[in-house]
Amino acid sequence: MITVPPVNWPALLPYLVIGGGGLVVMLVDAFVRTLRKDHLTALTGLVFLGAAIAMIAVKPEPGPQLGGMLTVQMYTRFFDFLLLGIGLVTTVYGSAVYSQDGDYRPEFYPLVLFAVLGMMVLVAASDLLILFLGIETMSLAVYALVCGRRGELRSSEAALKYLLLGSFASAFLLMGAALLYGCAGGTSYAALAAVGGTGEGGPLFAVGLGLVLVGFAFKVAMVPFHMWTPDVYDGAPAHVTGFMATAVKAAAFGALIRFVTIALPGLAAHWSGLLTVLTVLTMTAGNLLALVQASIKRMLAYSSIAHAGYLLLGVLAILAPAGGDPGRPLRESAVVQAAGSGLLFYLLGYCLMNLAAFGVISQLGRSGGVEADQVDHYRGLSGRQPVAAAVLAVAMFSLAGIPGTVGFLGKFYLFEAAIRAQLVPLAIWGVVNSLLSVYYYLRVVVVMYMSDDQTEPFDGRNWETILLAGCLAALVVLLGVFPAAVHGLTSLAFGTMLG
Amino acid sequence: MEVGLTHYLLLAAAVFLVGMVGFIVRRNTLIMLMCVELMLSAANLVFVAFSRELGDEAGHVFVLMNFAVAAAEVAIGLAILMEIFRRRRSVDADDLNTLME
Amino acid sequence: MIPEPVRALLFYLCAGLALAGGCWVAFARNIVHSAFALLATFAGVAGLYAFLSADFLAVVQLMIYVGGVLVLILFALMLTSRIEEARVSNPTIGLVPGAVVLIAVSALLVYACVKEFGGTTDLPPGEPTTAGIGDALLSRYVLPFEVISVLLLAVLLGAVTIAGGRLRKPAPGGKPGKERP
Repeated sequence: MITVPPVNWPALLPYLVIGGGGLVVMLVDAFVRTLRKDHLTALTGLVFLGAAIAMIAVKPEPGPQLGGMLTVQMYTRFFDFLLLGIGLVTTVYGSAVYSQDGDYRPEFYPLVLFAVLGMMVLVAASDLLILFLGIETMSLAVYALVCGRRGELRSSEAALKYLLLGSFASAFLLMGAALLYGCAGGTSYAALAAVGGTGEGGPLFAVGLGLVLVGFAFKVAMVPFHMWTPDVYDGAPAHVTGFMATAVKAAAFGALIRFVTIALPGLAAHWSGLLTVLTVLTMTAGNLLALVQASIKRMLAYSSIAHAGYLLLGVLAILAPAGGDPGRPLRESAVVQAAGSGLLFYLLGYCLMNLAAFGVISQLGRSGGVEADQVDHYRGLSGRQPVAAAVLAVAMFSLAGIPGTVGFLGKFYLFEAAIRAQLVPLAIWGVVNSLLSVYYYLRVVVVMYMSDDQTEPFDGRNWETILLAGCLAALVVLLGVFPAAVHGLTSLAFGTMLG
Repeated sequence: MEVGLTHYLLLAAAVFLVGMVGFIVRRNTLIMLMCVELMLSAANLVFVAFSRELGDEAGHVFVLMNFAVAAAEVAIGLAILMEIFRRRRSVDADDLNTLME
Repeated sequence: MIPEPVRALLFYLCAGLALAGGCWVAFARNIVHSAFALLATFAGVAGLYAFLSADFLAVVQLMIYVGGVLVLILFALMLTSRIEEARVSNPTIGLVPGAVVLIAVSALLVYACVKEFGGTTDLPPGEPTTAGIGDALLSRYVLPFEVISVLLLAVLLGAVTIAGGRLRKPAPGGKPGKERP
């Protein structure tokens, strides 16, 4: 006898809207002959907006869905909104790029929708099976997006490389999941928590955990699993790179934070030493390698590795108190609360500033088959396109962590939480690193403003992209000056996850 | 001579490691894809073995999903490979055209 | 019921097939040999599934892998025979780090496997699983079932548009998307 678990439709509505929207966009493109590409952009935008409205208008009872496969709560809703926003921005950027190129790429829109759906499911997963399928849906759609520039060997090669290393990483994740399944007797987070929460899992459990974390480490580009990042970020079209740098990273971190805090608060006992070393390596290697890059996309790739390092510092701060006192519930710890809300705030800021930067890069267009990739291409941009230059400058200031921007506050919250979690040396090292990073971010600003070379060939203009990037830059500054409301929100959202 | 769970786990570990090493040392992209398939098969074997041990069908469902994911990865991978191949060849052809002009 | 020594013999046969096939896949010089060795591995693993009384999975393994994945790989092999050394723009990590990783991971895995389940355990007798899987897919696992269908749809779309460049329709009023001759 089949007993279907109760379906809470209101809670699942956003997922249904995005998935169904992807189908509709696909079918409309296939069957409506009088279609212009603006229509597809508008339709995709409507789907994203519809899902956001569905989340605001329908307030479901939070909790596990469909027999504990998925959990809908304020934490996952926070990420849903973030991912929907990124998807919308990417759609607009992409449509502008393709109309500049005179290229018609209808598959771009449903692929973005499916990727976002995979990410939303990934963050909300409460079972290793859903976690795995969410990661794969996201990744496979993004592989296809990276390959999104026909006739460019670079983007195809980037896609192949990403696919090979990505599937290598999923094999690790899968093996880890298999071992965890065997040790815990089930694949749900609850079953894992019953074994891992006490920090008493056997060696096989610890190995399985390590393998799952390797799978995550690839997705968040943690040293030594970061090798794919610069090549793939460089080879992909700029709007797709922006999508990868923000949405993929946010979703992977969202799922990682949930996985370690819910399923495995006792994790620190096994892996925190190694994790500390890797965090330091990730920060340092990302920043040192970013220093020597001449290509702005490669520089941003290494910078995203460094930022993953700062975020890992926050994850360590969540785990540190649990390791010291395994019996104590995480929600009672003020340090955990501070670290968690800092992480969410940082992720939000990180996505805003990166999207702004990649918007400017993608709207400068292409010349001779390449994008405005070298830092030298930005020489004198302030004279030619003052608004674009200002947006990029704000994004760079924020990435560097200059006060008055969201990047500064995010780092401040994270480092403060790390200090409260008694990770003082790590926090100091983080500050040193972010001082180091000021050099390579500001180099871009200097090139844009201190030189008046007017001969660069990259002078694409697209008002939609620049308007959107401008709004994002304004948000970067706004949140940098008035963080209180949003920080309260992230704090609340993280609190709901701890239960 | 009795065969138990440990045997399956050790075998799966061995196949997984062979796939991993193959992936790391080989440069041919097709062979790398095949090595990933080996690693996935090893993981599937662990799932099925544990599923048998626990008397629970969750492992079987997981493996069924893995089949689909593995096939999907191969499909996308080979599509990209074909695109690269075609591009390479057509790039050569373009070169010939320029020489003829 | 098959007597115990025969069972053990069959197990080692399947295990040997899977492992030897795997080694051949990874280390054969000739890529066609690799592809056929993969067949041996898949067959060996299917045999092991049958051994673990996962009858349904054994059949599906043969159908999907041997009938689908392997044929796909062979086609790709024949169509792209000229890119034997398809360049991945970055070199993979070399032999020495590979050996280090191998030793570390294998030590860890073997230690964990033996430590946890030292000796052999009696496996409970198996029963047909197909009905159980079917029930599970439509009840507890209905969400994964839906998610995987979205995944397959996305892959279908991606693979067709990446590989099938010629099917592209021109943008109304714009240049055709395809520039290839």
